[in-house]
Amino acid sequence: MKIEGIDVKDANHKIVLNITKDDVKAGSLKKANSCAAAKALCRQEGCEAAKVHMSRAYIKKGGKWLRFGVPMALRNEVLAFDRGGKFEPGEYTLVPLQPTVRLGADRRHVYEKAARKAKDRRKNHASQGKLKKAYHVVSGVRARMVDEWWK
Amino acid sequence: MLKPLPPPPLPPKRQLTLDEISDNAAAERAFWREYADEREYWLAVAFAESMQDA
Repeated sequence: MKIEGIDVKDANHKIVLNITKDDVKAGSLKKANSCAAAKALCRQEGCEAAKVHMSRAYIKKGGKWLRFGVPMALRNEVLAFDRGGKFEPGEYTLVPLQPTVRLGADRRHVYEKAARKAKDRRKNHASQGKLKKAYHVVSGVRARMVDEWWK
Repeated sequence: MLKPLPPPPLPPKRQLTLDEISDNAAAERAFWREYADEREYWLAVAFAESMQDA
């Protein structure tokens, strides 16, 4: 995986991110690279750039991007912030990802198999005239990383 | 008759670093133990990510 042509690695450490009122004031809506959390990351970690998406965060440091998991508490704040609400300053912990979802992980197929099964199930239900179970897509928030790839 | 040699002693148990265990079940279990409170959330995130890749 690459961002702007630079390799992405999974982080092996946590970051306890302290988001201040100033970060919140300086943050931009719906911008993964300049929201309150991204500003706080750049300030605290001294990194060149940071992107905070709904479930993954990336920091650019030492010529590479490091990937973290975004905890539910921070996701909720990002969601509220992008929809025009207030971002609550405080401490949020970015976490290293579990082995099964790491980039190039051998055991990534655990989730991918489940995803394929779910897709097949929905397809079969549709072909049998059964009601397709709708899944919720969060809208009115920043672009997902996969959306950025297609730009 | 010669007596069989005793088995070699087991190496002492130590805490593995995440680097050493990043691709094995122990690390996976450690993650789920640590984030047990948010288990549903992390499962949903992993699943959603797989759906995007699929």
